Amino acid sequence: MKKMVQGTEHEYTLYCRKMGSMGLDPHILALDLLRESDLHLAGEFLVNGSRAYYDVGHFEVSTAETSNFHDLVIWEKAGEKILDWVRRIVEEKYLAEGVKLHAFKNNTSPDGTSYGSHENYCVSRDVAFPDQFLREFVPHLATRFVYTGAGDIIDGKFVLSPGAYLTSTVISGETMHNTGILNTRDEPHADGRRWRRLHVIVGDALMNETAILLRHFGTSAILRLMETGELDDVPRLKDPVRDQWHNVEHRNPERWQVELDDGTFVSPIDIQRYYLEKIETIVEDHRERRALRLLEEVLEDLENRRSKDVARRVEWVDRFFAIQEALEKREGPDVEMMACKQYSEIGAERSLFYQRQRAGLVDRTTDDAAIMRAIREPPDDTRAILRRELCDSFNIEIIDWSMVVVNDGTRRRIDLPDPYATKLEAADATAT
Amino acid sequence: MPQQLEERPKKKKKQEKKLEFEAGKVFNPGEVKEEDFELDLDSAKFKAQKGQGGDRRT
Repeated sequence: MKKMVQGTEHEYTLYCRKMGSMGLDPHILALDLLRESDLHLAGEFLVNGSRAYYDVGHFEVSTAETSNFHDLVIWEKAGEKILDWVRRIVEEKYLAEGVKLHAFKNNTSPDGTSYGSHENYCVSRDVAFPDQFLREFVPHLATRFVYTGAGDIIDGKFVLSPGAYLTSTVISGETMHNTGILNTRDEPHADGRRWRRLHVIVGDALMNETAILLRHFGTSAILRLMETGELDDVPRLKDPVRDQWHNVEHRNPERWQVELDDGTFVSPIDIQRYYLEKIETIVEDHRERRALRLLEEVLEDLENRRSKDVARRVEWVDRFFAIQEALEKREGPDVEMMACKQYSEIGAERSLFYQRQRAGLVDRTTDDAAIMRAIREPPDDTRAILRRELCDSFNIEIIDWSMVVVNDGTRRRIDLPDPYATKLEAADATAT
Repeated sequence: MPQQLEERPKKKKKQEKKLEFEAGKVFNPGEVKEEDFELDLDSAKFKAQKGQGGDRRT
């Protein structure tokens, strides 16, 4: 499969009962500490090519540009670990013994306030937007929740995907209210004549490496198929928002359904199987074949309700089990919500997810050694390595995804319009 | 006018950083004890600020 630059952005929430009364914002404190550390590169960028910044009361981390679904998992996990480290430094430096600073990788707080986790895919401008995306991509986004849902408790009920549950319309440019399955934001951070940065906001914050991998494998493969015009016979959905709302409130796959344009009903698993067959025609290497097989198994296990097997790879199922196990051990009105939220804590000693990963209940796709390397190094096959090399060589005055302004006696703007480029094009450097 | 970066710039001065990342803190947190792993009431009480997550319009 041809490389596709992609990345994720997560709004992490930090919470400490004591710090609020002290007038301190833990998000800002954590960011300040990170910028004083050896992981800081320049501006809002870190040495591993990612970007960490304050956004709407959250600590947001955008991964470096990665070229494939496998690397995406590693650099997303690296961002999570970086935040966990700086969270621990805040605890040690600023909080009394025993006082905790919680960090959550999820999408809602217990009062129902929501925040995002977004995906970005670098797609060709030749694919007609929004028409072809509405026709060929929306059916994927509206049905992928079966294996990409994180699970959550919202409005007093367990939902399979908070992102899907909180989506209001099919297409929209909004990111906070009235959000769409297809988002129209157009900020390419690259040569806009060649590429669109497709901003996907209907997804969930995921802890499970396999779920993250499958989401990016499936979604990037479908976008590649769209570029070559392979999806013109995709099933057309009559009312994807209505069906998505219905489906994410049911754990039993037999109750899931989507209505097609001709009035017939099929399962979202059927829609995903359509895509799976198409993806099979473009997989090439062993990682892609393995991901394809994983996705096949997950769909089959979902259909046959082999929930213990599914839970190893699908987060909403595992989170539901974690909540049920908590209810068996402890009584009280808040136990469900406690377990639901604590599943997504990123601190390994408090997180129900990491407890289950240590117990071997979930499948991994990478290892700690790879994540550790990705904390200090950018991917070596995208623009992220070039940006790092420029920062290591020059004094940087301004930095963004697609340009830096350097000063080594002469002030120069260097454009980085190609997210796949690992070497500098001479024409991209301009005196300012 | 485009200008070629033909010569290597003078070496950037390394800045001293106060904090050094310690992998051991996050990959092998010493305090993990499965036997007294407990649910924490705080996590069911926190309130986040509205972010870019969308809301439900019915």
